[in-house]
Amino acid sequence: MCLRAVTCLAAVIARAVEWLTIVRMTSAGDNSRGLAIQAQALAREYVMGAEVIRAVDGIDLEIAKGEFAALLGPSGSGKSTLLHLLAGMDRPTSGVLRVEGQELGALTPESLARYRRETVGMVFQAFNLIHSMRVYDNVELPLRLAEMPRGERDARVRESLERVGLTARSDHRPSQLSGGEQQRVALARALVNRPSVLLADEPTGNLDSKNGEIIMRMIQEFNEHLGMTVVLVTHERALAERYARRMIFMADGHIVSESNGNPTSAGAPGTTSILSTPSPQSTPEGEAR
Amino acid sequence: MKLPDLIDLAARNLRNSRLRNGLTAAGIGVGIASLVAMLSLGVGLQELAGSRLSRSGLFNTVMVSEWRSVEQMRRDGQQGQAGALGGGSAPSFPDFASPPVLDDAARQEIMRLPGVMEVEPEIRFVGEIQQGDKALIAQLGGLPASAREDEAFDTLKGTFFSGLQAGEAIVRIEFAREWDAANPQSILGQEIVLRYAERESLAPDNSNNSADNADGFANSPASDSALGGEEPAEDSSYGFTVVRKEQPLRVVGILETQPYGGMRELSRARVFIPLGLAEKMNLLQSADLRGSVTTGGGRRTYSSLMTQVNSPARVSEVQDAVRKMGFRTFSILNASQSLARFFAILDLFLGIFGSMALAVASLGIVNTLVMAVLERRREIGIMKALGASDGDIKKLFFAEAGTLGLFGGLFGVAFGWAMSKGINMATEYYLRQRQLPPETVSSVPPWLIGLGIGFAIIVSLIAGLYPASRAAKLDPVQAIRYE
Repeated sequence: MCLRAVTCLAAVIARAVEWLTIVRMTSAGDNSRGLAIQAQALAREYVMGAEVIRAVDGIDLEIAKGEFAALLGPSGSGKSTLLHLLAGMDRPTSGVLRVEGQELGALTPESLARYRRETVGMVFQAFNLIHSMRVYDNVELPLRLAEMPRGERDARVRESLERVGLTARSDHRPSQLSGGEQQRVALARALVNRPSVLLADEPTGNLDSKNGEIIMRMIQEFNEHLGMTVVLVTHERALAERYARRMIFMADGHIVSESNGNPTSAGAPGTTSILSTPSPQSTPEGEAR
Repeated sequence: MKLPDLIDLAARNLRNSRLRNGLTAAGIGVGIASLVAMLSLGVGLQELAGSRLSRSGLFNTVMVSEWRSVEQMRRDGQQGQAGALGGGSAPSFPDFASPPVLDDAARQEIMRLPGVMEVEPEIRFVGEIQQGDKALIAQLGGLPASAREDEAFDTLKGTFFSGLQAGEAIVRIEFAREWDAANPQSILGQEIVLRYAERESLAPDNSNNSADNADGFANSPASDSALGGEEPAEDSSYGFTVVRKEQPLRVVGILETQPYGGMRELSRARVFIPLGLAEKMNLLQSADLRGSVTTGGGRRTYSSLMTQVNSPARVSEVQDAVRKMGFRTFSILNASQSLARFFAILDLFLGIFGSMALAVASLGIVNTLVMAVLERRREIGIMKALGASDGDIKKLFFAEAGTLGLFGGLFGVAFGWAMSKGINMATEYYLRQRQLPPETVSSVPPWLIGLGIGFAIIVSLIAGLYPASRAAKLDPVQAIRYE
């Protein structure tokens, strides 16, 4: 009896400790999961002769850390301009843009370059690989720019190439790869500096649906497993619904509406993890062109 | 970006356009080669002139002469005019009521100056060389032992004098040809007789005995009159008489070229005898005629004295001391300073002409790099998007320009060195054709190699300023959209 009471007490204490741990972890998670991106009255204007074009016109936006958000809208809606502002490749004309606590408009050119190296990773529609460099060198380039010691670089590059399943292709030139493989190299390059925010500008725009899906699942996995905040620019609503948890619609430089996506988790039953996909050669685009 | 990565990326970019970059580097190379070849010529000529002067031993020689030269005599009355020789700092003529005479006393006084090793007179005279019925009039000169180091003796046929007072002669090849046109070398080893005019001092007790001494060198009382010897009549004011004497000589050498023999036209002697012998012979010198006016003729005077100083560094000090004694001085240091100025100006002009090609080549670098900026616009945009700063892009283009300069410089220095060798070979061939000894007129010292490579890199970096700045200013958003 007594023994039973003790056992019950111990079980209650254990549950209480467990509950407290969960509460603490949740609390900590909330703190760490603050805002990744915060824009207030953000504007970017271009002067074309006498005309002033407001590509981004007074946007207020908040994206939480670890969120997967898609920017949707027709051509000229300002979504790519907003992405370039987020990437630190362009500066706002007015307003405030804060990414991972850094006020981008106030950064010096040198600090903005460091921001691009350390905080964000970028994937483009046109892959934007340097064709005179091997796959390995393309992935290594951000590490060179970050002045990482040579000895540490190799492990990072190989890890990134392994994540996108292109280890065997490291000595190839981009021109020897298929479009899907080139975009995976671009993903490995965006990943290699371990950024906290991944920005993808129409990453599937130049790919067929199958390769597009592979790329999107990889991005989804980076978001879910590596905790990266992802901002995807696309004009394909179906794609956004499938992978993004949040959809932001833009038109004429404004955010016009928002809705939730309906993603299937990369780790959900019935899906295959790309990160565990053994060999890129097993994919249809695995063969060199 | 770290320097090794910069160099690696720059080299990779340069390799991607091998032909264009190779041609640009070759352009720089030609420019540097032109510069190196021009300057090597200037350096070579300067070294040639310097080595000739230093081998003559005159860098530590001070020539002393009387202030009252023929020229000064003409200028008597135009007080305060400085002479042509002496470096311009000699005391002016009016400082001396009675200009000192360059005689044995003065010679001894100069000899006692600190740093002075020897004081030798310049002895030049006209004599007749005789052998049997054959006789030739020739200008003769006395050679000190130090003349052995003169490069003219590098090609001496026969031997140098066996002693300072040896009865030996060395003749110029022109004299040997005149002696025996068919076989000029035949004079070597022959016994000849030199007829010359001896200056014999007159003294109260021997004023009439000069004729008695005219029968030979050995019996002349003047035979003891070499420096340091006793000559009781020297201090008298009875003047001197001139008697004909003979001196047997054996020809021991034939000279192909003229040795350096002083500062005057008089030095163009064709037959040389040991200076010690010449002094012992108490030869009549042109200065004796002037001395007969200025000192009464009893004392022997010198037209000039060659003073050897133990170090070129003490030449100025000795010159000052001798000037204070009232004599004019001239040293090759005066001439070498003028020579250095001349060669500095020559090098400047050669350098300017040599740099013309380099200036053109630098435009090639600007063109190549501007083309590279245009062609790699997208690549620059990608690098900036990945986090390259403006400075990184600038440094990358500088590294490429510097690498082009380095390779251009290496090629240019090698090419310039080859051109220098070619100039020397051509000069040697030309001189050989004229039966003259070979000369090195072009020289590439190590500093010129360093200068060539360094200059190529600096010019390339300057040429890379504009393209690098242009690349750094590219807007990454626009650059990435560029096709």
